[in-house]
Amino acid sequence: MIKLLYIELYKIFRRPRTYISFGMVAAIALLIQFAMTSGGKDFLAFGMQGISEQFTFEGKILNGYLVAYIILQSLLIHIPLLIALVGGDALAGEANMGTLRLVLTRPISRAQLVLIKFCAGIIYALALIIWLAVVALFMSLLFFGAGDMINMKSDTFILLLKDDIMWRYFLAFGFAAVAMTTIVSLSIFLSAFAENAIGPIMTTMAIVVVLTILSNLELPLFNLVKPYLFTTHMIGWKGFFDDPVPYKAIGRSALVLFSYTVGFLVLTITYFNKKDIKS
Amino acid sequence: MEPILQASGLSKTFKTHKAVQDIDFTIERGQVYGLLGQNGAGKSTLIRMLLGLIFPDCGTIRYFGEEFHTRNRQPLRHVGAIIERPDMYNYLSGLDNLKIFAALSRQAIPIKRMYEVLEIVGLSGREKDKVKAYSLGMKQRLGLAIALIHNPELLILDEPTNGMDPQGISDMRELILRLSREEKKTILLSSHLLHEVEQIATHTLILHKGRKIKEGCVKDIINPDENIVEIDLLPYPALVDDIRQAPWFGHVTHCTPTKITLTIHKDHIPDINNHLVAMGVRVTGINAKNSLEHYFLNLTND
Repeated sequence: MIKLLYIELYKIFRRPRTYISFGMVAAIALLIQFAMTSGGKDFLAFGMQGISEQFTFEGKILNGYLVAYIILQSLLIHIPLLIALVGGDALAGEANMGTLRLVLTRPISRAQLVLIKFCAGIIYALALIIWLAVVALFMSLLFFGAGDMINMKSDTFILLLKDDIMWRYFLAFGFAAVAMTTIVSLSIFLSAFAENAIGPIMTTMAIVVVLTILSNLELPLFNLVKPYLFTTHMIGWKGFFDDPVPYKAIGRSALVLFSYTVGFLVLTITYFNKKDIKS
Repeated sequence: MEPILQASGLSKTFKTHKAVQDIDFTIERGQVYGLLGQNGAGKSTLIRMLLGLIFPDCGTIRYFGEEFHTRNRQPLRHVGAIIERPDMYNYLSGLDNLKIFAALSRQAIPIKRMYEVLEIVGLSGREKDKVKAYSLGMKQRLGLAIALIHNPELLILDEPTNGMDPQGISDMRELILRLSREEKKTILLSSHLLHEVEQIATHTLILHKGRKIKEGCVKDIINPDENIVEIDLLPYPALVDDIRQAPWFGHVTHCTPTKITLTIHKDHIPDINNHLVAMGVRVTGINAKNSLEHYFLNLTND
């Protein structure tokens, strides 16, 4: 199984298109960092104009932790779309290339193949999140230095002390990995139905975008379904920057995401086990 | 002889189309078994069922006496296959592709074996080139190397000469013959190139519209006693009625006012010719054929 996983990763990481995602993440992070270097103070002044009249802030407000948080707010919603590039390609891309039929003439079960693809997808997602941590957090710290972080909410703000932040980032990235696992399983599930990678990649993106809109719309009709949408729970990582941390809500979100992941995986294996490979 | 592959009662229907119906056959060790049929006869569906890509509606498949089905794919450890087009990971080298399929065969295959099969198929020296730079013939050879990498006892080759030029076809034929004779592989070969199959196969199975219509030893099928004789005539409208009483009428397979087709020993041709001339029929040509191709065409001609 380890050897099969290794060759699956080898196939993923030898494809040039795999690195598009890494390039995009780095480009966006660097752009935001560059923009914050030149106009970050004005941006902060605008964002904090409501509270700066009542509070006096001292020290380095524009610091690496804050910039990293801004980058994550912008990027973590788009990372699923990048993960769909690999997940959607997992089975459909092989069917399109014609290699799926050759792979399935070997003595491995279809369930094993799906599981290997799923594990490889998770490792890819983890690699992308680690890369995000490097370019968003560590490079921001390098460029802007450390400091206390102000987490602006709609009606309040939370001040997190410099020494109380790093662990929050680690847990937030860990939660993001759980959320991305759901996207991997969704895109592989859609990939099992298709003979071409474009369809499942686009469908995954469409589902994520539509459900994210539903999750964010404050309309009574959608409020009924929101708790059941995985997109509602994908932003659970933000909870680690609250004080106190709402561990119960975060745990519930992780459980919903995990349930979706298992559900998509079981459906994929069930369907793929019965599928006639005609491509 | 030890049975290597036994198929029994295999059937598959796609929606309303009966692709394969009630197919039985047995391949024994050392045989080169030709699977023949027109386009749409069910060859590819049958091969995909044998390899677990398509699930039969009913029937059983046994490799080396062990039943093969969804939950037991282990018999495929001893099977190597090429299925139609030689599709591989084009962005990787030939050697990388070999490594991938070696790992998928669930056996510890040393790198030495990889170079050995590359040598067998004639790709030595090109193993580090990306597959996208290979010609179609080279890709087919790499496909064969992939099929051979785990040293299988049975090779299932579905149209292995697809898209090849005449030299490529000839080279592939020699390679398959060498694998059969020197490496002692049992081979199931599907091809629409009947002449090629005739030169390679020891046994054949002919499929037509999803059904088995003939199975047997190639030598028996192209029996010298069963020449296909085509007699061309100037138009003779009452031909069928007038030859009905002839002693050779029972050998006629096809008859029109301008042509008679019979399956008969060629020693009888002069007598038939004399009979026709005596009837006043004007014979313009006689052609005696004896090949798998003509046998096949005669058998599958609707």
